[in-house]
Amino acid sequence: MWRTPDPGDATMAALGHVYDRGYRRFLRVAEAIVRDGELARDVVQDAFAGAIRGRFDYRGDGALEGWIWRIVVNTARNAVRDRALSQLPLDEIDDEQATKNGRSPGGELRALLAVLPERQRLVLFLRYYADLDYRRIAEVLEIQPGTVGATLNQAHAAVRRALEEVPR
Amino acid sequence: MNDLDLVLVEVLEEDVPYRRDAQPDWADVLSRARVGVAASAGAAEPARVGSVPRQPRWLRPAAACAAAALAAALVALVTPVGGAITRGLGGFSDWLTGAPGRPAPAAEQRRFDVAGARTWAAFPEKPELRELLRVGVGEASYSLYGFRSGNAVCLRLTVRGLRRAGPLLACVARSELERSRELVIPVKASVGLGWVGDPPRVAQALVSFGFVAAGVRAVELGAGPGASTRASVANGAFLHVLDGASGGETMRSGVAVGRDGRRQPFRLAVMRSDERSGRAGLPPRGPARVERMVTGGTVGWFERRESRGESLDPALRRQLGQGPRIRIGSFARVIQPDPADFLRLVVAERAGNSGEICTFLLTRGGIGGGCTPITRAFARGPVLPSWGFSGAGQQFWIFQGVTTDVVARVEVFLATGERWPLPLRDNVVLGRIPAVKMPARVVAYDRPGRVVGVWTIRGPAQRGPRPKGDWHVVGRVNAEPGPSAVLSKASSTSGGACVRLELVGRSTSLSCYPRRFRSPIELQIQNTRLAAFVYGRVRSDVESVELSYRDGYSETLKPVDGLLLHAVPARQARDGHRVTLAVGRDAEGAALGRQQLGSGR
Repeated sequence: MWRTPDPGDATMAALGHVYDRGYRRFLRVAEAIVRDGELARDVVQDAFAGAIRGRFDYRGDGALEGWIWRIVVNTARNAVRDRALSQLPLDEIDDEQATKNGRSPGGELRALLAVLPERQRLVLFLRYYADLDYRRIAEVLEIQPGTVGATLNQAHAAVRRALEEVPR
Repeated sequence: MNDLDLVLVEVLEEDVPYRRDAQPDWADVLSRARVGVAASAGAAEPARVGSVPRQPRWLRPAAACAAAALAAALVALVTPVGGAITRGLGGFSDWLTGAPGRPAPAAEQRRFDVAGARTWAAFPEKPELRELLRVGVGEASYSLYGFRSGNAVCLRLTVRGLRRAGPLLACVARSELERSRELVIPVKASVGLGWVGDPPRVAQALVSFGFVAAGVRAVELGAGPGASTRASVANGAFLHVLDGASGGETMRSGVAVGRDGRRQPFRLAVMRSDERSGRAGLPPRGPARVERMVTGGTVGWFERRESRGESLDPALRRQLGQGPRIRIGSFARVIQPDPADFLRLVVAERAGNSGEICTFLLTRGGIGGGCTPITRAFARGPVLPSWGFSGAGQQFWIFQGVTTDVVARVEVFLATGERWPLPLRDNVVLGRIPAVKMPARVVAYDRPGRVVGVWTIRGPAQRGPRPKGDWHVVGRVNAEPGPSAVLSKASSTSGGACVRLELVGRSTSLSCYPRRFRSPIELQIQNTRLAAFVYGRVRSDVESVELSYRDGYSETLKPVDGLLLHAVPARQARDGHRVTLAVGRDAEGAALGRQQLGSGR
């Protein structure tokens, strides 16, 4: 679904198209970052509103969707910082699950995910929730593609350790 | 994907479920951006008007080559040879200017008149039935009648000797016959009749019928190459009956044979609820790019509450008001974009001053529609469109829409290269599109001729998972009042599962799921005028599903074989009481996932 942009791609219609097509994925990544469904909705809406206001800043030097993903991720990160939510680990349902499954691999992993370094979490979310490839993740996070792979490996290694430490 | 990935994916899937029901709200985005929604489309501010990028270059090279080859084959088929044959044989002039067949028996005409009187979209002129064909197959007798009424040309099939068999009615616009260069125009294909079983699922006969051009000597239909059987042909029509069609055969193609022995192949669109096929692979034609983006805008006469079209028949108003579904307000008008056709659209305000615009399509088959907040209706563009078909075997889809005042005309482009205007009047566009010629593109223009809206209708060529193998009944429930429903399950071509909800004697809905669950519960609602059903699939670890309703009522249900089917109590199937949330729980009662349901009303 990625394409080479044409000049003037960040028109209202193009933004609306990206919004319409990717809304639920944007929402999911935002929710993964802010850990709050309602706040995530605000993040996506505000991110696209910001994209509309700043659409003339889009230079066409990358995919429009990548540019928007960057805005969504940054808006979500700012929301976390603004509301001091970065250490809020789990939502209500997950609390219930964590209690019941506290010693299960799933429960351990959820707890681990909440405390992974931010970059590792973002790479995981963009890889698994947004289904972006390494190149696009690198564009969104403004890092090198090689760094994406290395970061993902670090996250996987942490997950593997967590699994091995789960009492059988 | 290794074990670690699998565990990780599973945890991530559960951690933040995919919110299938989450609804985008572009109007809210515009509001936050302080762009606003236009009060009048004619006074669009610069921020809302701009060019739209060219269509994405998503077509893969191989697919593009295949599509081009198919398109070339199609053009070769319908243009030189087909055109020459049709011109030589005289087209459909018998239907356009003459009176094919003979007058129908008086008793049949009376039955038809009574049925017409009960229909809200009554024919513009009193139709006089002409008897075209009468055939006996097995124990049953089939009679095909035809008639013209205004711009509609219709065929009606009646059957004696079979239970649950018709009558069937299908129409095309007169203009379709005028412009067609085909030898055959099917209007119904592979319609099952004489259903038996519990639930009724086995058809005792499968019928297809349509118009034929003058001079066509024979028509053959087939489910595949080399397996064709002859249809009866007379008086400008054909009728094909496959007796004992319990094997689920589907007629997919046909051949028309002229007097000189020349043969012209044609295709049939398969429009069954569990199977669809069309011209998959052909690219859509016509403008793909919006030249002037307009958001917001109004339907001037609706805002001013002007008495356009016709008033709403009190009996129809009562019918719309029955049941729990949608209550319309005092202002409602019936618009008939083509005065010579019987398709009409009710445009109404919703009761309670909710700021919503409601539309209901009136056809011979019934009424269907819904409401949308005006602030959202035109947030993406100047047309609020919808399209689809109603009834098994239909070969034509209906495109309908309400436009803002900025739209001056609407045109449809077919995969065959043909194009024609869709009837537009009083901001309502309403017309038919042949399914076998899809994908189609509907294009809206403003007064200077700039493209202000484009919709691609893939129709039966829509890609996606399909059911395969046998269907197994998983559950059945009765709604009181309302229909009974049967839920069945089959494998899917994607490796997942397909479920089919049959509202017995009324309609069938099909959903196919991917192998992987997006969330532990994946439910949907089927509303009818008098009842509502919640159904769908749940993950294997979901032991119970708790439904919560807006008024505080809740109930807990047990899935069967990974599926859920529930008839919502009648008192809960109305505004203010509807189901709003489903929570899937494991054996210990722990919540595994939740899903918002319905419109929140």
